[in-house]
Parts: sequence; structure tokens; C-alpha cells
Amino acid sequence: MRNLSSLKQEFLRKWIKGLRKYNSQKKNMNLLERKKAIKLSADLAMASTRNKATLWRKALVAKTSIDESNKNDISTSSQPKKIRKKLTNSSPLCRKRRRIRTVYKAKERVEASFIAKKMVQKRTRKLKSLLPGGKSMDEACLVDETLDYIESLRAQVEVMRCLVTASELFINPSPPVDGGKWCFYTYMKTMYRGKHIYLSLSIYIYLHKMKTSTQNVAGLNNRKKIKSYMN
Amino acid sequence: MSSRRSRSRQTSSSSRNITDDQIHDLVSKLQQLLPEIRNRSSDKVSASRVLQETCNYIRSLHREVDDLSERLSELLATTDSAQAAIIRNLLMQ
Repeated sequence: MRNLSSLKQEFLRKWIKGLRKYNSQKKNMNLLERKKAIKLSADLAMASTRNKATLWRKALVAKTSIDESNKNDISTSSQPKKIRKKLTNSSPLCRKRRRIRTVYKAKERVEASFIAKKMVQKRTRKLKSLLPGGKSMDEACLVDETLDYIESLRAQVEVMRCLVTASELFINPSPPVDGGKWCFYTYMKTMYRGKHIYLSLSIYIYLHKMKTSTQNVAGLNNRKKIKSYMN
Repeated sequence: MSSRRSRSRQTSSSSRNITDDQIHDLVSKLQQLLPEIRNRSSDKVSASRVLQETCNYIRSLHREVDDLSERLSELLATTDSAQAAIIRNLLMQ
């Protein structure tokens, strides 16, 4: 549990840093561009957590750098796909890896074990297509990569969910919440069944203190103290 | 050149199927993560079912990331309230 929350904190810090960097590069983005920027910075932050040199991390970083350069150069969405396709086709691994098709007898094809084996193969291929960099993974490391990827992806989703929900509640407090800190706490408790409260609560408190400190100068020290949590 | 080709063919045929040990390993670790498999009995889970659940789970997580980033970008686009300005300050500085 301690491992997971430190992973989430690391992700949050890096994600916010990435978002700020994106905004400093390009001031006015439309909805689609901003969504892409949010996704890219989240993926990059996830790939840079824990310092492990897993295959999916490297592939994700490579993919985000391609997407980033496409985003900046070309405004239409049709062209980036062309560029990405060209890069994958030219890799030597793709040219060599031709699937070996064997012919099976009709009797063999109907056996249950054969069908089961084919199902496993088909679903392994599906899993490989879902994982970043999965196509060049062999089955030995696929399992470990999948588990690591799922853990990091889950942390990413939970942090994003907390941030977005807390921000939405902050901007548009619905009647049951009503802006009170304890109402928010109970709302979050029922939503997340006691888990991940501290993350959302700390985000909320930070936002709340920012709001009150904009009025008075003395609040500046508070703001700096809490900002250090985010940095 | 021919040695490289034969080596690649060899690895692809020998590692085409996931071994049973690896499936067992994956199942035991996924049981902690995936709620669906946790309810099932541990010794009767088939490999293809585990893989299918894993794929579905990863796909649903991807969809949720997409949805959340869309909501966040809409939030950051709102300019009418002071709270929105604070959020923007926090996330974009």
C-alpha cells in the first residue's frame, strides 16, 4: 500500500510539471489540443515513474515523443497517422517477423485442446497489441510487463480521477457537497469507499487555501508551503 | 544473415505459447488486482479467460484515461469563475 501511494505521488508531481511545461510552450490551445497535451503528459509521467527500464516504458516514451512532434508540426489529424506508420514499417524487426502458417488436418482442428490453444494464441496477440511496445515482446517477459503496466496504469487512472473529481466539485459544488470541507469528505468517502481520500482531500485543501489566500498577503507563506507538496 | 533469420524463426516458434507456469503466475498476481477473477475459484481459471479479462481491463482503463483527460480539458477551458482561474493556476501556471 505504501508503495502504491508513493507511486501515485510521484506520478502526480511529474504530471503537473509536464502540464505546466506544455502550457508554457503554447499559450492558447483549443479543447482537442489541450486534451492531447494532458494525455501525453500523463503518459510521460507514468512512463518515468519508478525508474524501471521495462519495455513498455521505453515504448511509451518513444510513442509520446512521436505524438508530440506530430502535434506541434501538423494541425490536422490525418497526417500524423501516416508518419507513424512509416516509422514502424521501416524497423528491421517487422520485416523479419513473418508469421509461420502451418496446415493442420481436419481431425486435429476440431479437438478441444487445439481450439483452446488457438484461443490462447489469439488472446495473447490481442494483449500484445494493447501493451505499448508489446509487438516486440516475447512471451517470457510479456507477463511481467503486463503486471507492471496494469499497476502503473491503475495508479494513473486513480490520480487523474481524484484530481478531476476534486476540481469539478471545487468549480461546481453540487447541493449535497455545498463547499463545506466535511461534506466533501463524506462525499469522497462514499465514492471511493475510504480509499485514496488523502490525495483528493489534500488537493481540495490546497485549492481552498489558494482561494482564501488570494485575498490576503499573509496567505502567501501558506501557499508556498503547500506548493512544495506539489513540487 | 542466414543465422539471424534462422534464429528469429527459432525463437518465434519456441516462444509462441505462454507456458502454464507463466499463466499460473499471472493468475495469482492478477487475482489481487482484478475484482472479477477474485471471486472465481483459483484452480479452475483457464488461460484464455485470464487473458481476456486482462485485455478488457486494460481497454477500460485506457477509455477512462481518455474520458478523464477530456473532462479536464473542458474544465480548464472554463473562464467564468474565480475557482476555474485557481485550477488553471495550479495546473498550468
